Amino acid sequence: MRAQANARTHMIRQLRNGRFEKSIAPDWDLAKHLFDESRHFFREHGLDADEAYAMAMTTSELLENAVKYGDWKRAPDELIGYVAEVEGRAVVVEVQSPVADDPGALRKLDDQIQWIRGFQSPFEAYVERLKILSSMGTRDGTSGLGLIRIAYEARALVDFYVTPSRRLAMSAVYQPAGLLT
Amino acid sequence: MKAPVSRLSASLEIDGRRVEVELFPRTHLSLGVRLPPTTSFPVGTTFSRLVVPQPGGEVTLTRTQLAVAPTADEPGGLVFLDDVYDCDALLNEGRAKNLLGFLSELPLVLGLRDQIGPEFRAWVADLNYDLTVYKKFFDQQDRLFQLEPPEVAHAAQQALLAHARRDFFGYLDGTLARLSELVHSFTPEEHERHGYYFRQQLWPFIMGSAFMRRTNLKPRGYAGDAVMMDMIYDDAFEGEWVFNKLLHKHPIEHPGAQAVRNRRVKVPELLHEVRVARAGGLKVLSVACGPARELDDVFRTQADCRAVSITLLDQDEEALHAAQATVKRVEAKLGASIDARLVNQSVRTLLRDAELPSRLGRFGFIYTMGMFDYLTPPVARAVLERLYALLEPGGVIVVGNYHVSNASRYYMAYWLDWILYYRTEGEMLEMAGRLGDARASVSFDDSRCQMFLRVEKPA
Repeated sequence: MRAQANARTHMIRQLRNGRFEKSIAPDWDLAKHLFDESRHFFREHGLDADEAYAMAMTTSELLENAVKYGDWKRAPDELIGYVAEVEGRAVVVEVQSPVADDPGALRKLDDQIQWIRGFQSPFEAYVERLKILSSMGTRDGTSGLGLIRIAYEARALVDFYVTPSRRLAMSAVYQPAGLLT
Repeated sequence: MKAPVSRLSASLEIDGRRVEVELFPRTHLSLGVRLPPTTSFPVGTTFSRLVVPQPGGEVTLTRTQLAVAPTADEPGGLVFLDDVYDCDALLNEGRAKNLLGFLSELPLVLGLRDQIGPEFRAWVADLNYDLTVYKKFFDQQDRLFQLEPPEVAHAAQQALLAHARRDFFGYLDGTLARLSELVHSFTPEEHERHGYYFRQQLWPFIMGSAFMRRTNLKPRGYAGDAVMMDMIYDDAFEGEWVFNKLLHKHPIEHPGAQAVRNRRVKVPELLHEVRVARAGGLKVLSVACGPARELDDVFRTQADCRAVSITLLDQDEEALHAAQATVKRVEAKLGASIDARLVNQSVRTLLRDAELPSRLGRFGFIYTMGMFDYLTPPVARAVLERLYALLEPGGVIVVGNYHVSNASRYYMAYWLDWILYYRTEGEMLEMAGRLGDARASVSFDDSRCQMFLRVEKPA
């Protein structure tokens, strides 16, 4: 995905801090528009074309999850909250949506996030997950590959928390190379 | 052979016709089969397919052969010729898990090798050679020691450890310096790729070290579990053979691990400062408490036990058991009971509890070590805000986080597969800057690996 990565190895660059927020209804067509808007935002704030594309893809993945798995029955009038942010060394995408108060499901998500984050290389997580899935002959929606793909293809750290108003805040954080600390 | 405990109806296909059979558990990779009495298939008969009806639809398995003839008392045995199926999973979960399925994905892993730079490859090859030489030498000595009486073997191994430690640790330090030179300007993607390659190459050595094995395999699902923390606190040789003992001890002596031992001392010091400044008792919350070894220094006297109450929170039940054991040990040592409460909860989901302050109470001192290193900025901010809400006026939060310049950073990433979210002083202060009226400062431990963000709520 990032063919130019090696060329950037010794490049020192500066990102521009900024924040872009939007609320949308849980409608996949509306969510699609955010792909272009977020890509534009990240380009404007210092990411190169490959990085901005990867973060826009991450935006789409997280929005798709919110549309698909949000607890829209309980909260039909709530909106999806979207934040794109560049601050210091961190490039952040955060998507908030209503979530069912199911401790078992949240625990499973927590375990999955920690499992993915436990590998230095998301490629390793991807390979390990493929091992399990290929032996089971399944690639369905419960495969867990979506979050791993964000980690692997966008080089982003996935994380989440749940707000007291029962909204799942799912985020992906990318730390570009070549930044002054 | 397993006794038949459950059965499954299925059909075997041969010469274009179906034969209805019953399947039974046999071994992990073979099935028991009872054939219709009207048939007489000899051992060696090959069936083109095995079709197993399941709630989600038919599951079709590839060629199978009758390997053991059925008798009046025992089912026959079916083995698979083209694939290796997990037969327990087939009978118990209704899934056809083909253990060879991953073979088709192997080119993905093999292809990674082509993206590794020649300099790094050459260095890993040299490292592999050197470690093999060291290991063979140490193993030879161990085999020699084994021929001696236990007390002689023990003494000889101790002498070898003392001597070899200087030389071998010096060698490892040199390789880490070279690793740092090779990778310090890598992009995150290059780190990940080279780290994976590195661990594939050195896997047998890594598995020999008790500490490295645990950080890599992460049996509790995350790095930095209570057992790893105990290994760091114990700071001892572990393992049977000299080579494995050395490879266990070296990372535990490195600055990153020393920082863990330093913070175990630092937290009680900070807590006592707060206790002195605030008259009366002190309610303490430890978030992601782990084995809570610092309690040895938090509770030094019976008076401490009367004055301080503590809530220990961790997502991992095993960590809470370890913390409870620490509490009991300290109680036994002091002959007093400690007002300790254990809470099994993950911070990521803890935040959803709107009644948190009434459920957990408010605290004069909250500390969390080894947790923010795993939280990305959005989650870290949310957690700090909720913890701040749990603080009494005049109370203090102390948050530990490894600094971006952690001297063990590449050692942890490449050898230990232990990845942290490193922060700068500015990033720590920026987190606290969102808390409104809070007073914040940052300090370091002696190793300069570990930062402490101190946040005080005005009285």
